[in-house]
Amino acid sequence: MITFVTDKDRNEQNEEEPVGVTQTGTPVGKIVEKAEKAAAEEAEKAKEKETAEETKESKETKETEGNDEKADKKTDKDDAAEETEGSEKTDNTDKTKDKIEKMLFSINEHMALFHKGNLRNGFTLEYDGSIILLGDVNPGAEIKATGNILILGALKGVAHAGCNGEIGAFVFALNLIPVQLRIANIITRFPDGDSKEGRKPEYAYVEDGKIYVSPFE
Amino acid sequence: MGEVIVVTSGKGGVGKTTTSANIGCGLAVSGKKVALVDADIGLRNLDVVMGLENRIVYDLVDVVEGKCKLKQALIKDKRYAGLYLLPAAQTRDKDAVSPEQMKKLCENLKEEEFDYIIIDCPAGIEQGFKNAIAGADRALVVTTPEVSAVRDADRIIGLLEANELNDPSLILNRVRTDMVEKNEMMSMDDVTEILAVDIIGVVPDDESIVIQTNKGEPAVTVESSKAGQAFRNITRRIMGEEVPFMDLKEDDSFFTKLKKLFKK
Amino acid sequence: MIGLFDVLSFLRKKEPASGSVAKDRLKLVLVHDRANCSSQVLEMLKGDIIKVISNYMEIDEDELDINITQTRSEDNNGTVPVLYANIPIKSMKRKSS
Repeated sequence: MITFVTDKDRNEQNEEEPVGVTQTGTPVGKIVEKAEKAAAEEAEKAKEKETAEETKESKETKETEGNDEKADKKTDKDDAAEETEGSEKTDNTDKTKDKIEKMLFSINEHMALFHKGNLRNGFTLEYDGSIILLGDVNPGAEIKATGNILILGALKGVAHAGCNGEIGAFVFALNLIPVQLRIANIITRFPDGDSKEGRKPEYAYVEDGKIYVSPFE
Repeated sequence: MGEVIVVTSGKGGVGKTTTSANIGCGLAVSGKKVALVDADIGLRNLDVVMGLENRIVYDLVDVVEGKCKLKQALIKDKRYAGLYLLPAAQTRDKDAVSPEQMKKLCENLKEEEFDYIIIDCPAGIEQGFKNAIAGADRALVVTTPEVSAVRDADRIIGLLEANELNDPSLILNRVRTDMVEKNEMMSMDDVTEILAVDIIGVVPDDESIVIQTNKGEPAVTVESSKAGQAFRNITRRIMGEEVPFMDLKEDDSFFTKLKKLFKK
Repeated sequence: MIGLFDVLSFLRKKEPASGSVAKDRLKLVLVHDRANCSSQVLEMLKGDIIKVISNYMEIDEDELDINITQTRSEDNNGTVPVLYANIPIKSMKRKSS
């Protein structure tokens, strides 16, 4: 999971820190060493996926996972200050699923713009509501919505969800490699060293005043 | 009091943006406080050349329209203290700004105690050009040793003079020394004779420019780069130093000397 | 191989190097460009020439052709811009005095 640290004050952002957005989370493989517990959970989770059947037991596990997740996130934040690698946050839990559903239906559920075609450099697509884009957002293009943004393509430009201040808005893309990402009044940018190749569908959302990016499965 | 320098050319693709970025960095390395202003509204590029494209929140048009403060839109460079970028708007066109507004902006930048304000001018002679030169105290004209670029440079020099920007300095970019030696390319002397203006620098055609632009780091900071050396010299000349023009010759090995001897 | 080509190039008839060609062409183009809407200036020049020449001879004003072009310079192999005027004379005026 990738975590974007937010930068509300641009002047501060530009000051000492090399990057306003620090990558605190790292891909799954690396973190396992750090948190054995998380690794165990991860393995369990993988098994669950395989069986596909959700037993009561597995649900319980998931609940505990949810709690651990919170704890992990706290260390995540502490680590962020020291710019060290944060610990793993498990995805694909019921909790996050619920959250997406909540997000999906909380904001302008009846208002969505469907747009087909690529957004090229210099173009802005703006809508009061949510946007579903069938195509790419190229570098230099901007997609802006008061609600959510779903991009069935690559996001390589700037996306601004919840641009009227809706903090619950999210951005989804098949390939989420934005120059910059904004949700409500929070701004982040793509971590400098991160690979832009071979990324899976991801979505970005706000939690505790920070933008997080998680794989969408 | 700061000096506003506009980097212009008339023809596109001769290296205005590269020149602006390199001169800006060069001045900043010399300890000056520099603002790079991208006046190419609608086709901004200085941000990618500087490698600062993902930090843009506000732009020049936002400042001019009062949507944000000047300080908010100025992006601090990630490498050099004292170097700032004011990016152009991407989603607007050149009519979004007027020459009067640009003049005001340049004055405001001077008040921020910048030593140098470098304006990257768009190609062409229309609104964007008029905006870019409005607040300038001095002009640098970039050209390459090609008929099309020199012709456009001549037109630009005429227009600059018509706007009371007299005595522009010329930068001859992308010179291939090997071709000049064979007289298959116009030399620095040829071009200055035709344009009759002072030359402030000759920049060789150099792979390092392409490589550094790919990385988003201007070549001026690369010690081994010939083009970087040329830009370092230009920077010093801008600051008023007398710097001799460097020898652009590739190498003077025994073989090349022998070859020359035979050609005579 | 390079040496052989060099020898061959000596044997070939020498063409002016493209660098000089570019310079000459530019000089000509800039004469036009700097005249600033040169056709207008040329018309004015034409009017003035007619006025002056008419004092001495009768000319065919409709057939008068005036242009800026280039010619081979005398001292070197390059070209220089020239003002070319073709003025058909109808008759000479007799000197009044």
